[in-house]
Amino acid sequence: MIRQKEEAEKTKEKKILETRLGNVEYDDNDIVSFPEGLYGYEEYKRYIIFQHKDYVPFSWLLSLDPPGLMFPIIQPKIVVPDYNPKINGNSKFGDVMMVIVTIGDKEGRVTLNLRAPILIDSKTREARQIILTDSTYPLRYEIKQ
Amino acid sequence: MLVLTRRVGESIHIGDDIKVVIISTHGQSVKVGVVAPRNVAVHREEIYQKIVEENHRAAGSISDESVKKLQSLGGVIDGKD
Repeated sequence: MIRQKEEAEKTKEKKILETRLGNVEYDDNDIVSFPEGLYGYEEYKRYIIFQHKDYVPFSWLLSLDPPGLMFPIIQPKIVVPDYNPKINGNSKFGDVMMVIVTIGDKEGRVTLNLRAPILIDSKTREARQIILTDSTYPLRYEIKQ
Repeated sequence: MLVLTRRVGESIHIGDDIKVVIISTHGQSVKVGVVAPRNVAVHREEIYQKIVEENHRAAGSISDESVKKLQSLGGVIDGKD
């Protein structure tokens, strides 16, 4: 019993992740795991989702192993209220949906990847990126400025 | 690469739990069915590659300047509501 308690306390120990946005404090309970990683980043499996008041409504997916890798993300419905992709049975998972944001190519466009959303199970804190079979939603949906 | 010849209706097993079925052919097109466990993602090669590239673009687009851009955009999106 005592040992269990110690372990539980251990997970609450605050850690610091140094990022471009400054130091981010987190503990083990904040970790979101991607058992399969993101496409192209299969080896990065642990992230935290960080919200900073300066970037609302965007959030940040910050990699823990190794640190440095980061993605801006957003709940797609904030930009595209009728975003309601059909997710086939095999991929049905999670209760929170986010999409990855790509900032500014040469023309300075900011786009959302609506074709491959991230699904997060907020209870288990497991997440995965899925590729929609249906091609209705684009890889680069531009946020009009 | 292992190359196998199959007829329509025949299939190939990969490991214990993946099955690929040749459903029909039409000219140069082949319709293929895949039976795989839930943790195995199955995609057309082209779209898979596009998603990988887009993730690389997203991660690679982060700079002090681009991050500021996102900051200013936050106001624009909020204004829409």
